[in-house]
Amino acid sequence: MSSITDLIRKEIENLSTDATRTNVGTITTLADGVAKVEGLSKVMFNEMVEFPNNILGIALNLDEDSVGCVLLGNTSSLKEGDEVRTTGKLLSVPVGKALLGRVVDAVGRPIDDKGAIDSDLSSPVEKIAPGIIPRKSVDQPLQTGIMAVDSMVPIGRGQRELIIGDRSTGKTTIAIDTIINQAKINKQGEKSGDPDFRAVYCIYVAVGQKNSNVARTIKILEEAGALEYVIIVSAPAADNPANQYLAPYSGCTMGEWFMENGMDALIVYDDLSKHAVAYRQISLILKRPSGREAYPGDVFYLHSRLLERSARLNENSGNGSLTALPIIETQMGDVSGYIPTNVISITDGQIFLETDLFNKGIRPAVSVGLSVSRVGSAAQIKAYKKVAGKVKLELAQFRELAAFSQFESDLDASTKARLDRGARIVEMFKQGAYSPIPVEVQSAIMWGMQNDFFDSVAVQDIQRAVESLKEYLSAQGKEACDEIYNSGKLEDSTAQKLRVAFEDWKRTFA
Amino acid sequence: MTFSSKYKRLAKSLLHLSLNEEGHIVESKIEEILSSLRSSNHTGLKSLLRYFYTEVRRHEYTYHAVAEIGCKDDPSITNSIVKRLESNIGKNIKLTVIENPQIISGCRIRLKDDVYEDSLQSRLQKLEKSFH
Repeated sequence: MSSITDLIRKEIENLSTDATRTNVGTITTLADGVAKVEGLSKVMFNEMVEFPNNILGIALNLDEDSVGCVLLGNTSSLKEGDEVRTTGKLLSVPVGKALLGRVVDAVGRPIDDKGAIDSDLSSPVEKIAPGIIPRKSVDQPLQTGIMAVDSMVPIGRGQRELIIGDRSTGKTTIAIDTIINQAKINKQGEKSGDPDFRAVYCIYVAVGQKNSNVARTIKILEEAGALEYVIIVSAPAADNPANQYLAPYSGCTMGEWFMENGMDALIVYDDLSKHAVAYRQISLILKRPSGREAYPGDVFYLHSRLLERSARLNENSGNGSLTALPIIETQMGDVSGYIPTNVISITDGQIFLETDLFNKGIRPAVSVGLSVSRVGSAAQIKAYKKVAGKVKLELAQFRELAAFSQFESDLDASTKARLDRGARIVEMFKQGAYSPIPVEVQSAIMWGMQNDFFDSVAVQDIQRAVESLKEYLSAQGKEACDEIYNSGKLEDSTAQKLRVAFEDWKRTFA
Repeated sequence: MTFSSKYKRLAKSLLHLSLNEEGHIVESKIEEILSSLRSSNHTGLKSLLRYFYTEVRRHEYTYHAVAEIGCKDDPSITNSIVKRLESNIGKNIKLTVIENPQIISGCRIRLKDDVYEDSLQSRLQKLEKSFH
């Protein structure tokens, strides 16, 4: 009992009892999560304002005689004439490692019934992106564990790689796979006790999604043992547009904390099309002038200022990184839409997923021609670069030849060989969801393909062969894989070990 | 120029006409303006009056302070509040005092968009917030 009274006494002693001066205003109109407020003459742009019943809002429109505020809570208790106060603060969210394994809303409040978040740290949601001086070129790989991605469109730490495609083409799956792979690598690295190992922490921002989808994602991550390395920021479709607009910025702030403190982080924005729609909704209610497709004029800036915050910092700035995987949903495969072209031009490459490939059973349905990574190849490990260097070209040639060969009955030997190789690569790249492959195993499989070990396997048996090879490499061929994992290189001696292992595997597989 | 911005400008000019040398609104001048507007049979009279009302109300806030006090009105307290506020904003002000028992003790003064608060109610609210 005495401790409680002591606590109260301490609070009273520390309480500031000076007279306060607050800038106030009055709600004049209230609609769709946006309030027009008269007064608030000293309010700043993006300042947090306080409505009755502890409801927060953000001042987004500073007009001549009113202020447009978006509300971040249940507005049903508010009415016209209610008093609004400035707070003098920018909207901040909690940051730090205490958030890992938690599910939070757009303003960082826990929504997972696991109690309060034990973090005293907070950081503003809107921040200026790192400038030129603290940055460094992307030079470290970020393995997704997906062969088609790691070989053809490699991603580096600090890169912004867009995942784009129609609905139900596996965009979220690629992002979740990447997160699961980071968790696996983190666990392996922590177990090894390597002092140079750098874990990658993940942030998954769900914008405008169904609650059931978010719940499914959480379950997948939990089952894969990845949730302990992930922060989930959720602003589902049922949430008001203000929260959907804010969620990516909040997630970015949480990721930036890792980057600024010398750690590596990965952030997935799922998805920015819905984010743009939420912003359009807010802008229309705020009566901002609308432009193409009714989006406001600053919709490019909306995404550029968000994605520019992902960076790779140099040694003087802590050597941290924030990698971004924004997701964009296209309509009928149209990549020339307003928002898709905006985000394509901002990011450092894109993974384009094709509906046709997906329906043919080629999953992940990565389009070779339209997918590109502008900076990632610099970060690819040497061993992988050695074996995967030609694969994109081979696959592109295969697609072209396959289209022409439909009309040809008699093919020359070289064309036939290219078609056979291409068909086998396509089969090899087929990969189940949520089953990332370690980079050393990927390198070994690719080496096998480059050295014709799969040529005698029938195309329809390639997937079975890859599965069998994965099992073999994790047992008998472990030595060669470990050498690739430790050195990142594929030396002649390692290649020799791989040759022996492959010959042995081929006998068992046959 | 849209009608609304035209009316806004006109309302501002009318407000200017209804002020005395101190910058305070003069009731007789307002009445004079209203009667002349009525007789002019202006087409957008309703909109113009709405803007004029907003301008007058907003201008009145700049020198009309409302003080809510927890105890009974004491002229000495009222005078000291007026003097302090006048020295702060550098012009004469009009003060309306309202008794509000919810404040418990102390006072809460609103002048323009600013609220000066030193009441027991606000202190208790601060204490409540500190426990969250």
